[in-house]
Amino acid sequence: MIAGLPWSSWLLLLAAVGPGLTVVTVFYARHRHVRKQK
Amino acid sequence: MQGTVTSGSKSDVTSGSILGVLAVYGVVLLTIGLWASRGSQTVAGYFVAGKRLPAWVIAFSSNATGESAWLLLGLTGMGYLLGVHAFWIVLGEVLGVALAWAFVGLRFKEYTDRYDSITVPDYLEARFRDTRQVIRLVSVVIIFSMVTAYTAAQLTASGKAFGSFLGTSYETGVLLGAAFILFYTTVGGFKAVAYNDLMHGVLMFAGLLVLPLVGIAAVGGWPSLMARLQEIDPAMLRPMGNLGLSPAGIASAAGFVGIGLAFLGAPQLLTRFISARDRSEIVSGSVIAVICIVVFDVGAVFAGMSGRVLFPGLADPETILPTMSGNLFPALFTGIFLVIVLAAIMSTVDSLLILASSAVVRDVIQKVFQPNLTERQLSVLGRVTTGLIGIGALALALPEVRVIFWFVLFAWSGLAAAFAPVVLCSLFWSRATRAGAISGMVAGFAATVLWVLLFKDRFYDLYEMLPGFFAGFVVTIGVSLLTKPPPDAAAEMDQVRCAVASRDAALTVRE
Repeated sequence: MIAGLPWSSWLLLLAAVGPGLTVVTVFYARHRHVRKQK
Repeated sequence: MQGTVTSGSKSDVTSGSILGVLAVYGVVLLTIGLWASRGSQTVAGYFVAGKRLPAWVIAFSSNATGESAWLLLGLTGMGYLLGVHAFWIVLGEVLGVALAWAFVGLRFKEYTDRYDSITVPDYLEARFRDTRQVIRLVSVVIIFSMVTAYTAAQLTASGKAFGSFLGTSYETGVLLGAAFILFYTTVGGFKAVAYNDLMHGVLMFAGLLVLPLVGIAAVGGWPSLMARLQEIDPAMLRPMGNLGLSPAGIASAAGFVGIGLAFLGAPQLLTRFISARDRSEIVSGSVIAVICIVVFDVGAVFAGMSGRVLFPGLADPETILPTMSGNLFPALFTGIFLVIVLAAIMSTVDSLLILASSAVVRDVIQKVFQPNLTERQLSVLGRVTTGLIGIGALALALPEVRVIFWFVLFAWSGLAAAFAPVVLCSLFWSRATRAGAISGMVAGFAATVLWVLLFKDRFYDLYEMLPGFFAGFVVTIGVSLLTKPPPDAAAEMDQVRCAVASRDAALTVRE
């Protein structure tokens, strides 16, 4: 339990939000990098 | 169902405030419709806003279109009923949106610009060199049947929403919703749809940011919310809900994740990529789209969970949002929440109407029967068709009241299972063939429908998107391996891959 919510539920919330944000951040950073090189 | 909420006790002041907000909103919608009408005199102008939309517009409008009234009424209801288990939906949708923008968007934009496509069937026909136009006709049949059902479901939601908030009759609500949408969609075309959807998306974003915060505060803060939910039903706080790690629980979680698959290839969402000004708008839009969907979904689930503590025992969990907005906020905000629900409905219906209209006018009339019509004639035909389809959906919606959730998901899954596997294969696998694409579309669509009719109740109610996708992929790949791909498809895909990865691609020339 963390703050009343079972740890497994926190993990699910993290899994729900984390990978999506990571995918798009990496994607965005790569394109920004390429743009700067130009 | 509508009577369970605060509607019965609306004072004149409250109704006046709600009507005031509604009037302002209506004026804004119609003004945007008129403003957008100037650029919509050509086919590309009417159906993809001349491919000139910026990142903010495509990102918000794409999410507002993907998330219908189901987000505000259905997903908050899921949070109310199931608690944490509804996060599986969040997982599917956030991943679906992120993967679509990071992997599908750029390639799809590059291909459609090369082919000068303005609809998804346009693209598929060109990609598979389908000179006999079979793909186009199969697409049109699928789009048409699903869009009418989906639109009718959304109009049903409009009737429910007006009833919940204002206490008007169901029919009045349906008619009012349809009147607004039909006006700006026929007058302003896709540009009006996209900019109105931007506004709708921003409203939904704000509402789903504020509602859970106010809800949790009203419960007495986070610890109190957790303690009260634990008292009501401990399963509300467990990822697998009260089903546990049983086959039924796993099927339920997998089905929820599957909802997000549609973001990878539903035609009404792919149209947003086509209409982007250039590829760099898709890069910028990706971040906006993902943050937006996170707030939408997490906000809706938490709002529902706090609503369960505040208003236990609702006869219809899908009325939790109107109930909360009516009881926790001043009258003016209740009006704003009605507008937000309407925004969610309208942002979906308008895009579907444009999609169906483009299927008829661009894909059938212009490309198959009457290639000689002028751009202006075709854009007028587009308006007439949009109006007719809207009226058809209205006729379906008026006599029917059904549970929003499953009806919408059925249409959502039918469209997505027909198109997404084929579109994904066409973008990432040069070996995909015309025969594979046609049979994959039919298989994905048929599997969805058959699953619902024959198998669903025997397999723990597993959501039809998953078998639909599976059938779509297996058949597309299987049939493609047995037939010959277009001779230049591999070289073309290499060019597209290089263009997307190259420096020039990231910085599209604007001068």
